[in-house]
Amino acid sequence: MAQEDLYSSNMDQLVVFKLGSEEYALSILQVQEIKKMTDITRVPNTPSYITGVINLRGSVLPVIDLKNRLGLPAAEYDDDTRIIIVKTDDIVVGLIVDFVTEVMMIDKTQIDAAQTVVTGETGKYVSGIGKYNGRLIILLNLTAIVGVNI
Amino acid sequence: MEVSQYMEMFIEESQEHLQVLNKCLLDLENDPSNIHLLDEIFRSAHTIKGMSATMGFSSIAELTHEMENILDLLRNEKLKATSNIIDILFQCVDMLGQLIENTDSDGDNHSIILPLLNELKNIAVNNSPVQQSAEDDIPKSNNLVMINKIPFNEPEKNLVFSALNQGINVFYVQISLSEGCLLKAVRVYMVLKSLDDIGEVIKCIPTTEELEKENFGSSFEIVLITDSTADSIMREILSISEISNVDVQTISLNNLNTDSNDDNEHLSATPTNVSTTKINSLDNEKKHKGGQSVRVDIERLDALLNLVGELVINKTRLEQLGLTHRLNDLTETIEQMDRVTTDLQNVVMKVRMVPVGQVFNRFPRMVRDLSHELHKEINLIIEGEDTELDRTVIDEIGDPIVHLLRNSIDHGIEHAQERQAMGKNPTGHIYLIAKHEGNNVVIEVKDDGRGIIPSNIRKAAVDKELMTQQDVDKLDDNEAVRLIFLPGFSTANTVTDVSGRGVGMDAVKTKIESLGGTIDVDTTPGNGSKFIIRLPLTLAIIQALLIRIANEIYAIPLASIDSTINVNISDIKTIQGQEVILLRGQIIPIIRLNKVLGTEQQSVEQLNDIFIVIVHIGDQRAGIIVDTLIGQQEIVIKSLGKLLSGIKTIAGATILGNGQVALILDVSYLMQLKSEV
Repeated sequence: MAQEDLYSSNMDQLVVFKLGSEEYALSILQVQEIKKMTDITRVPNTPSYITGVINLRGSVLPVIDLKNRLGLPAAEYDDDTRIIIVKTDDIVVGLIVDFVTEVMMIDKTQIDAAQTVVTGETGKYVSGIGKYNGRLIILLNLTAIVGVNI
Repeated sequence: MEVSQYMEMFIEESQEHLQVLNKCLLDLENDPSNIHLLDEIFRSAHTIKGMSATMGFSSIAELTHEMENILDLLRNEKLKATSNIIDILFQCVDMLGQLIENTDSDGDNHSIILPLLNELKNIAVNNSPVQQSAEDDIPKSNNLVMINKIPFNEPEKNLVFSALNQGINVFYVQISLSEGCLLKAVRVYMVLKSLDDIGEVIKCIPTTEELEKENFGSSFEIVLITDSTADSIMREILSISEISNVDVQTISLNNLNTDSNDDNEHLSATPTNVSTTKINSLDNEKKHKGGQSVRVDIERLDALLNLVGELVINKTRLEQLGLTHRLNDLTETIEQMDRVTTDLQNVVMKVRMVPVGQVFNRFPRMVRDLSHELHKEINLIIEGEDTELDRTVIDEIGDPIVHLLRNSIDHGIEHAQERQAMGKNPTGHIYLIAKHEGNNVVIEVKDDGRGIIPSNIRKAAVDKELMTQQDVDKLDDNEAVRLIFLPGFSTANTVTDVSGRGVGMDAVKTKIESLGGTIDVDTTPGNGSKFIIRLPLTLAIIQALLIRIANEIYAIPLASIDSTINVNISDIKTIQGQEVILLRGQIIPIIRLNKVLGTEQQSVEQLNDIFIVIVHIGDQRAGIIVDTLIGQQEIVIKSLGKLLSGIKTIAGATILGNGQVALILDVSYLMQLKSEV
């Protein structure tokens, strides 16, 4: 995964967003853009976490409901709901999140490895836990989330 | 000389010429005395020689050179085109193909061409010892120039000698400017500049200073030391405007000794003739290629097509706006734009079209070789090679057709004795036919061989445990024959080198389907079989019927739609649990899309009339129950991407006028499903 350094070797820049009450983040290098909720066309015979496909300026992109993927309780989409367009291994997908909070710089020393904290089924989707001014931010493993084996 | 940038062009052009060689040699085999064919072969060989020499591939040049010697003997009727000689020429063409393909990797590998060179030389020597002196090829020897006629000074002479001793070409070039040329000095400069790029100009007559002052008539002369060939020099100079004539003559060591009695007149007369004939032959080549053309990277065409696709989507969007607002001016403009985009789309599609002949051209050779190998007499008849298909399809269609042809040759066509015993023409015929059929291109591979025997197929299917005996018995003959398309099916009793390696028709079918096409088979035992491949004309923009099922919109490609009908719910009957309807005496199975697509139960069930779209793949038909028909529309096919590529019911997606994404149903997959639903 691309974790290139932006400004200095020990800082990471993250896009932070909310799923329910928890804060999650992706490296900004994986994020292409953030879009407001739009019409999603359901695709039959797909896993439930794939909401469907959207039209992003003429190309068709699959969209993943991140809460469903992580096994979190579903909620209605509202005005704050956003689709984060991400790219990993040449696959571009949209991730539906409740609310995009901010873009932050975080010291790498403030990121703990995931295994120490998270276990269980969804553990593989987490790459680390970041601590920032008393907030806990869950860093996601995008490759595992997108998982090309459908 | 920096050659890498020309490499691609060299390879492409050489391959074109190789195809010409192959084709003409095949024709020559049937018509050994046809002088025009020989001329064409000679020209192609000569062009390859020239190009490869320019690129520095001496093995290719040498081999073509020896070929030219033989061809020249044939042309002058000093040698007869026996099958032995043609075989050797074929081998040469193959070798050239190999050499051209390997130009990148192992450079110039001289040793592999030696056996062929020797054979060619043997033929030349045995058949006409007199022609030994024709070592140098003919056009060149006509072009020899008396070096003494050119007033060289000592250092220049030394330069020429040392170049010749190193095997570098020295040319004496006479250039005439058009009458009325206004900027003579400029043209001279351009000529000198372009010659400087390909070699070294060691002498100008008159001198450069005089030339720059325009102190000359309409022609001037140059001595050039270069690696290039006379042809390429001529082409280079003729590409400059206001040049009326160019005459390139080779200076070689031989002519230093020849007597100098020939006068100047003679010198300028004969070679000029040679040069004009050369120009003619260049023209002929151009004609052969069919006018002027530009080579464009296929990716650029793809990009262009994508843009046109976007335009079509936006046009549809505008059309919807026009409908809502009903402004006269707007509607008018939209109609005009519609015409323009349709034209634009047609042009772009046409640009991407390539005649299937490009693929078909290599088959006669393959069939010839295979039939020789298997000792069968087979005639391949190709029709409709001008039929055009999308470039992307052309690139992929070769292998499946090779497979079908091999099958026909190996399994289909019987040996001559067998055929005679059955009262057939001892020579087997294989037809390869391409033609248009609606929005499809149909390619047929037809043979008059033994055909496919359904009972054999049934037995094989059971033996290979692909199906049970009961299942097999249920199938009618047509369905049984189609079992050959099952994975793991190969009827060959013995595995031969030719076919029957287990790749089978299954691979062919998969390939064709991945191109959006279908394949079907029609066979009569004893009379041969016919494989029919249907391919979509284009892969990018199609006509489709939009339908609605439980608030979702789907597109069905118009090409696979037969008709739409309106039936009463009571018209749907069941046969062994399979819902069917009776349409014009035909029983048509029904597919319920809500089950396949997992949508909610259709509410229209209660209503008395329901819409059914009758679709077909080949001869098979099925009815799809839909909620509403929305209408026919031009759609741009978009891929669903890697993540969703595994979904079989959906062939792709498209963007509707309102920006919404609609999915395109994969009809051929739905047809396979029908028995399970």
